[in-house]
Amino acid sequence: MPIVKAIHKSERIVPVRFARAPDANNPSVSSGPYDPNAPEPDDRGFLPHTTGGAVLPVGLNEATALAARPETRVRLIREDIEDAGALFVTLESATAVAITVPTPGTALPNTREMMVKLRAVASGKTHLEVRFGSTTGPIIHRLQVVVHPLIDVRVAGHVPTINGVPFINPATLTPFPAQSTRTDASIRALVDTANVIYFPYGIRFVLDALIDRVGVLNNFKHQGMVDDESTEFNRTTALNRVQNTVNAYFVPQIADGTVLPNGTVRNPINRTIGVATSAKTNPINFGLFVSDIAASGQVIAHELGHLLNIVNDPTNEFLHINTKTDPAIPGTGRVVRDDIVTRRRLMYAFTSLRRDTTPPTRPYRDDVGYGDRTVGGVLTIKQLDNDKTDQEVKDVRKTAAGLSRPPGP
Amino acid sequence: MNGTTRLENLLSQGSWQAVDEAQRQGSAALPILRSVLAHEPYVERQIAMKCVGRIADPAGADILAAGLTDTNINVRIAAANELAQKSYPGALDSVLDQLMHSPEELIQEILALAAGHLPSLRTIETLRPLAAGAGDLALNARMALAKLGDPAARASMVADLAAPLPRTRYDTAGQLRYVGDASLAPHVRKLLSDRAEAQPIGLKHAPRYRRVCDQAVDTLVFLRQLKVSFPVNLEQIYSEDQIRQVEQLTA
Repeated sequence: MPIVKAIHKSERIVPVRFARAPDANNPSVSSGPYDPNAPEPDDRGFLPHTTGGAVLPVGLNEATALAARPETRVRLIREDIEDAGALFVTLESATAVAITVPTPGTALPNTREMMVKLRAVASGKTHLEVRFGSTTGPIIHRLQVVVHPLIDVRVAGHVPTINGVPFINPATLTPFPAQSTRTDASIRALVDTANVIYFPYGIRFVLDALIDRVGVLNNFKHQGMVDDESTEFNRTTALNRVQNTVNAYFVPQIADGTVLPNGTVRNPINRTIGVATSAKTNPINFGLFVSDIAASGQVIAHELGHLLNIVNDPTNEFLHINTKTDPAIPGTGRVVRDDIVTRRRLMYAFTSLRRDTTPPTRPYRDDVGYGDRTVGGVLTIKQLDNDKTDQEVKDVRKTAAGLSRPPGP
Repeated sequence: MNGTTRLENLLSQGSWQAVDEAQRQGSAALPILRSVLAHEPYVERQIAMKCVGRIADPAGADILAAGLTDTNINVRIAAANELAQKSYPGALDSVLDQLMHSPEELIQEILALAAGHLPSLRTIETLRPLAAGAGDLALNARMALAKLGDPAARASMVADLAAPLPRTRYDTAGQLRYVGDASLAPHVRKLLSDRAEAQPIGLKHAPRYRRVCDQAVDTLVFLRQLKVSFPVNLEQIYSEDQIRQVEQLTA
């Protein structure tokens, strides 16, 4: 096997590995925006042994005819094996997916980065195998592929009018409006981005055709503002509520803004972009709020993750996948990890990545595969024994499936 | 417009109001719902499953059974969810078959709960090996076995009421509502003094915590059909007086 590597004592050999393929045609591209057909493999380690390596999520719209289904792509990268080595890809079983690129039976190109494309066939799991020399040669690497059929989650959109004491926006010196300025089109665009992120995990948010703009909330503390840390949260989610559905409320501000005697501001303006409560643990009042300062659909995708019951840490330590509860740091909590894999995950606590400014800077931390300082959209599939924030896909699918039935054990 | 036409129209429009209309018509609506199985838009078939569940007539078992092998997962989930709510003896074969062979673990997990409504030797024999594993499917299989009266499964759940992790005690107390046997109430009653915080509710950044005793209140009210003077639901954190009231009613 053409692997040339200097070894002193012992060395781990990694002939090839799989990676996200942001560009549909160029396997050398390593960064690009969220794409439903370019999922990120969950490549955190080699466990469990039944998986043996990375796991690739693939979305499946069962209502689409087989030939019309989009191709899901993944890059195969030669790490220790020479470009001249002949590599082939095969499937353990062809019931869940079919290989469309390369043409079945033909070798992959003799380049460092190669493209593999798959078409979802049916719900299920299989392994994509990398073989050396021929289609029956030895397997040198494999990737578990999990096909997730799309579960529909109905979303009822609301743009309520919130009446209260006007609160002057210091940026414009005018009061926040009583009603969100978002158009129906901009709301749909946010949901569309969430659907791009969730497609590989088999979740589709279906926004009602009519967005409710007639609801009125009176006697709130401030006009156009919902104080999510008060009873205003539940008062809002009760407004024109559609049962067993994600009720999404688009409001100018999620804040209180009251200045306390010590000079601090309780629940300040322009801080909370979105917020949601879990449908599993708050079956009566769960809901999603998005403020007018939210610009990215990643925000709504993240908050929908909370609504679908992640992070679900049985010990109640983790608030997000990178922050833990700490009474000394109310709110987001204490940051406990910030590696590049963490930065790729949808449930990362922050909406953008903090740039390295102290030399030596590490640019690979600023772009983790989704653009400069952009958080990724990954949900974890694996369950690693010591990680309390894992199996996110299982949690979101389970909660989504339960949304159409009454709350129960 | 008569009821039949109204239901057909609502179904063809993909309107969830069909569920209320089906409930109004009751079992008379089953032939229409059966005919929807051949309709192409999966949303119609999905709503039909919800309609059958709302009518709650065991004669609709064949419709739900057909839903389990539908080509669309939303229909499969809707069918499984309804089968998990009450007993449809006519769907026994389909439930056990899909419990063993569905490619979707999610569906299998729901169907394990459905199997708990279907007492038979085959059900027990199907559930036992599943209950021996780990994960949600095993957990649901144990719950189903406990509902069917399996002594080992019941003992396992009772033991979990004393588990070291508060969340385990909390979750198990909630799962006993599915088991639905009032004779288990004394085990749950012991948890009324368990003030350990188990489940955060509300906002992630400003959580409140449901304690094990709060879940115990919910389960005791359900199992013993208690009439209490305060609202009972999964978002309540009960006062000392309210907990004391449940203690007295179950003494």
